[in-house]
Amino acid sequence: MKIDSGYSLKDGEVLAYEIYENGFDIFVGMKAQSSFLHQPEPYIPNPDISYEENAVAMCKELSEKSKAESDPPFNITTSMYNDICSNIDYLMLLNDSTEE
Amino acid sequence: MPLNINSVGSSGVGGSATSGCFTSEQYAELQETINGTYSDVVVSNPGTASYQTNENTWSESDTGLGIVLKDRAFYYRSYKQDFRMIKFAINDTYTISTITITDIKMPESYIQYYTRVGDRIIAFMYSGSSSSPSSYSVYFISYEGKFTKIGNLDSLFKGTKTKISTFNSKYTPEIVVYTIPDINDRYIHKFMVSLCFDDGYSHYWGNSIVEFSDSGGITVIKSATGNGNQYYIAGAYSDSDNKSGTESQILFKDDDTYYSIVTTSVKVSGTSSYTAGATSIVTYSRTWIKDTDDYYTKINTTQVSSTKIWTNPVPNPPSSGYPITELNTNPLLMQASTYPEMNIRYITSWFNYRPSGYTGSSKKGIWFFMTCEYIGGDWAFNTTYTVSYSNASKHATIPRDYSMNWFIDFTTYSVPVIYWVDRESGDHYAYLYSGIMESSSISYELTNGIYTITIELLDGDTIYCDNGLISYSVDAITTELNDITSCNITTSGTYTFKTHAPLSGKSPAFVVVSKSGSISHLKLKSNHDGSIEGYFLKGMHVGDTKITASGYNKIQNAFTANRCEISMN
Repeated sequence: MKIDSGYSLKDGEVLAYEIYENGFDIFVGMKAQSSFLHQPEPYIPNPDISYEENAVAMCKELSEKSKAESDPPFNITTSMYNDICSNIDYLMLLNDSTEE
Repeated sequence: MPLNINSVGSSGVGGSATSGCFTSEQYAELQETINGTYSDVVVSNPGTASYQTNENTWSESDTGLGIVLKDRAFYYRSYKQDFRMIKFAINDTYTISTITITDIKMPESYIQYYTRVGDRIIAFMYSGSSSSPSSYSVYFISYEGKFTKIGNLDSLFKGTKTKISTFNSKYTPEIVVYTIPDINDRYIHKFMVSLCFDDGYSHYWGNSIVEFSDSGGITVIKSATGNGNQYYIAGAYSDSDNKSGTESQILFKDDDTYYSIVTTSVKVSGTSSYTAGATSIVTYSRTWIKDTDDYYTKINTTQVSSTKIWTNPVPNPPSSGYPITELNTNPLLMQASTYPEMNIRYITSWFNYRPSGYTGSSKKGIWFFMTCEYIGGDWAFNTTYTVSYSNASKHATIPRDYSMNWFIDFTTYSVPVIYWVDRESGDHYAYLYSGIMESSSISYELTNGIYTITIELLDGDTIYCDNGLISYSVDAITTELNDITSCNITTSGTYTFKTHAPLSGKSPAFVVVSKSGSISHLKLKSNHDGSIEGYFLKGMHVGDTKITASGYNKIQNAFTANRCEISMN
């Protein structure tokens, strides 16, 4: 059964968790049918605390990261850069031929 | 040892796939295909792209252009920063159909690097931005699209460098998979993450090698900083060879010593383009000592030697062009090719030339892959396996460097299906293809009532044929067999067996069982309707059905719970 962690993502979606025998799952939204994070043994982040405490801590971390994020920056890729260079070269060529 | 196969589109490959380890049953299944030597492989039926990304934003430097996992779950990094999952089926002509698309929410802002590990993806992710990353983590991504966080690397990297390096592909993050057989001949995966950073302005870098294991935990193997061409990757080190491609390697254990085989392509220092005869494939053997006996949980290893054991010019080079630009390792293929008892057959590295002037349209490309065998303490190499195809269709040609990923699907058909993702320069879309790998080295021929099979066999294999084996030839020597129905192989090699053709005119049944008892060759095909057809021996079991006559049989309803077990008796 899903439990509201009390934390949410930047867009307001609730982070919920479900504990099972061998770990826990984290869901985005109480109505989500499948989890997006699956943390079984031996991948429990902090083995010294309970699964539930781990789940809540992970929801908190996800929430904080989400809210700290700005919109994805505009990253220029190699291809985009090459395209821009090609376009500039082409425009300069056109300009040269016009001047002649 | 039985052979397990899956039904089409089923959700499970036999064994403990979710643990990342392969059971003996899976091993048997995979070996069935690998035992054929893909000499002069033809990728047929490439057709047209079955899927085109809808974002015109692919970069040449995008790593992990797309990865296909089992159940034909194809993942790629979307420009929108989502991770996109495409699930598809293939039809009887091996082309892709019924595509469903799911965008998967990511737990971190970015995936910087991801690669396939068995039935999962391992991904290095970070939050913040590439110019100011705030935390670093490593995740598994299952074929079901679920993330599992396996480690946080903040303690290693946070604050030490300010920017993840992208200026040089040498310095981008790498995740290298180590596969170690355990005492039960199952395979334990280890992962090393080599992360490189710069200061955002100068070409300085920092690099740490971190190991993860399936049993959890992080072990820091090595950490270094520098600013030259020195480059560590998962313990490998090279400052003398000017590498032009990615290294690939496998770690294995023989007695109490670990060895890694590292393969890289090398060009003459200082050259930026291909020069005939100057490009080589180099394989190093590196010996490691292990600091702990408990290699189930960690393997602190220290490299004690590195020897260049094999150098070979690239076969059939084009007259001009660029050095080998792809040197990829398919972990699944590595596992499939790892024999029991520490005899390793390591098949690696599809790579290609990029012919000079290649623009992505109607240019023939050449792929190779290499086998490296370590059997009985001796090394053997072969690079004669050439895969090539040419197609006038723009996107059915060999892609440019950086922009290809591929997967060979062993799980459904006896004919392996290859999927590959291609991105063409200029349009920045990615395309998903499927094709068939047809081996010319397992050849069947029917002449005047005599049936011939040519097949590569290993010491310890046993070949069965109820029609009676007339003779075999190996190394130009023919041995008469007088219609015996089975033959034990004592020397590895390529064998040509002759047998009597069945009266029906169909193929006789050849079955090869390896030394470990695995069925290593069986000509069969599973069908969408749940049936299996193939050439079986009398007395074999296919699911619950006992074969009553050797030769071609078609067994209906062969699958139970999407699995079918085939055994010799």
